[in-house]
Amino acid sequence: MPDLIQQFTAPAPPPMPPGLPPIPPETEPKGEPPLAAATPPTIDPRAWEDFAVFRETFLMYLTPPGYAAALRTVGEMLHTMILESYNPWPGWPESSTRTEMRAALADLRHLQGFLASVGREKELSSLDPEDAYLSNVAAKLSRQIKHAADGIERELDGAPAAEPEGVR
Amino acid sequence: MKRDPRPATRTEEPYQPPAPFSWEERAVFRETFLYNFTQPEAAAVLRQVGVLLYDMTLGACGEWPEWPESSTSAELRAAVVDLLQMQGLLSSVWEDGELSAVPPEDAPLCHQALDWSRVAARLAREIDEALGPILGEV
Repeated sequence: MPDLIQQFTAPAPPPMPPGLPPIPPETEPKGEPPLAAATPPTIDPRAWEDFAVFRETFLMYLTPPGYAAALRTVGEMLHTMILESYNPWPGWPESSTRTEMRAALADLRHLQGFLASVGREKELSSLDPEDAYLSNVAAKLSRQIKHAADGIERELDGAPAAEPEGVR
Repeated sequence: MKRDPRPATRTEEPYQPPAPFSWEERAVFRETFLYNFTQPEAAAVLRQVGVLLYDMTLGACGEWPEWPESSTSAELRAAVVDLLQMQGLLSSVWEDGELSAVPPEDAPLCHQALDWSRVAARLAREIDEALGPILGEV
């Protein structure tokens, strides 16, 4: 075992290659306008697989430009990897259609809860009239999503289905 | 959505839809993504990661740029995107029923998926109309 060195001096950093500019010190930007928040994308439902992993109701909080977009890219990568690598994994206990519908049902229940929470904002905090109106819309749509989700649940449970609300 | 439509014959604990927890306890990952993880407990672990990410985000987002509109509007705009994503997924379940051989007992589900996708589209449109464009955008 080598002797322990009593005094140790860290080696000097390697000399900077000539021609590279010095690294500027980190300073707070002065006089620059505040960053504009990133807003949710407009998506084509046919491209739903490009948004398969993270809920937009989560990504909305990531307002620094680039953050939400980065997670969407990670999501796209994860989704692609999953579709390429599930082969050795256990199969579902029921058909893929029923499993997909159960997952869709869970996501609808999430949206139902999310919108119900937006719908309660008018009771829990003071909103301006425009937001109070939007809060009312959210409460109403939460009930409609519940109706649709109940329909899927009934169908999955094998009970006779009611006509989905509002279908044209 | 291109997996073997036949039910599996095995005894492990497969993907389980979440218990009816509050929406905030599954705020991050879509269940239509997690259902792909059929290994026992895998989806539950990812849901836990989601709770952690969500809590960290709520802790940090106070320092981040403000939305260009009220939080109510921002929340509803995000819900529109999720509804459109759901519309696409449900349409794809319907398409699977039309284009590939699904078990006969699933045919009604595939058929109904089209109706439910229309419901999702209608709700998204309704919110979008109530919101109008983002301030500063045309």
